[in-house]
Amino acid sequence: MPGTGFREAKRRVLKALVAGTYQHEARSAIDVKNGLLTGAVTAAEVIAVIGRSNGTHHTASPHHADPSVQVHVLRRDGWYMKFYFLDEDTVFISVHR
Amino acid sequence: MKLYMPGEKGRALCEQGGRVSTTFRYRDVPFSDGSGVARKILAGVCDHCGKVVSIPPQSTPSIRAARRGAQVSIEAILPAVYLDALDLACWRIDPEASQEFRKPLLMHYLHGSSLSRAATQRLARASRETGPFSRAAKSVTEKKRLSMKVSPAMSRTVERLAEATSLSKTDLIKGAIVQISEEIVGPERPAQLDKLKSLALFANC
Repeated sequence: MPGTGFREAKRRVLKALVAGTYQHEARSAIDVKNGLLTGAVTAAEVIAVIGRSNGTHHTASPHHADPSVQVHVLRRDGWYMKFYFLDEDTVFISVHR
Repeated sequence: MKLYMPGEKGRALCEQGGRVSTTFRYRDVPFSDGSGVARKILAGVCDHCGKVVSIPPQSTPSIRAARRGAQVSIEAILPAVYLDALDLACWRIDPEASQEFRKPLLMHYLHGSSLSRAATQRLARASRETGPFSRAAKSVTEKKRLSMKVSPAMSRTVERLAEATSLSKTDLIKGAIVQISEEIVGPERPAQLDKLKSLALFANC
């Protein structure tokens, strides 16, 4: 979903990272591949990577638990970031490289 | 940054219920790789199934601390002369540090060996040493146990080295000790001595 979908996703995810208004998806466990959750990666590092991403680094697909929710994937400079928006909330699934 | 409060309501996607309401509560949450548990972290608990479905960023410092504590055991039984050489190197670097410096020194060498293919090959060659260590190991039966707790990251480094060289962890440790002996015990003026003295200082402060 490149184009306006990406621009809006980028704006919202950067805003959430700056404000700290985000969460991490969990399935009864802490996903060790989510470096932003485990503290292996800082929000500042994620902000920098997303900041230099454009629509060519972005894809989107429906979340399996709720197909009305678009899961955004960014691949940039070896990084892999997966997140979605749930109403006003931003939820990270994975951040690693 | 937003501080989520226990009892606060939220939303999440649950594997079982799809879009659900959540309540933030303190929970013990395990790591997905089975390496341990982060205790009493704030988490979004599904109001329908009671499972942890989300975690706010304020829990990350506790998760990071628990992850550091989730250490992995590395053990090796070696001909005693290898540990004598390792202890002599530790003593030469810092007589105060002694055996407490075994792990940082070994990990310094193993990590260094993982940084390039050439360094990995040097470690593999050292593990096949046919000089004084091999001769002593064959002629003397005394063995000593080396037991260390290392971080998950360091454990992964050792695993990768073992995979790249097709050597056991015990052989990797033997190779690192041979290198340590050649570079620190043997020379009159070890080239890395000042750098290693600093490492010992920080490892024991």
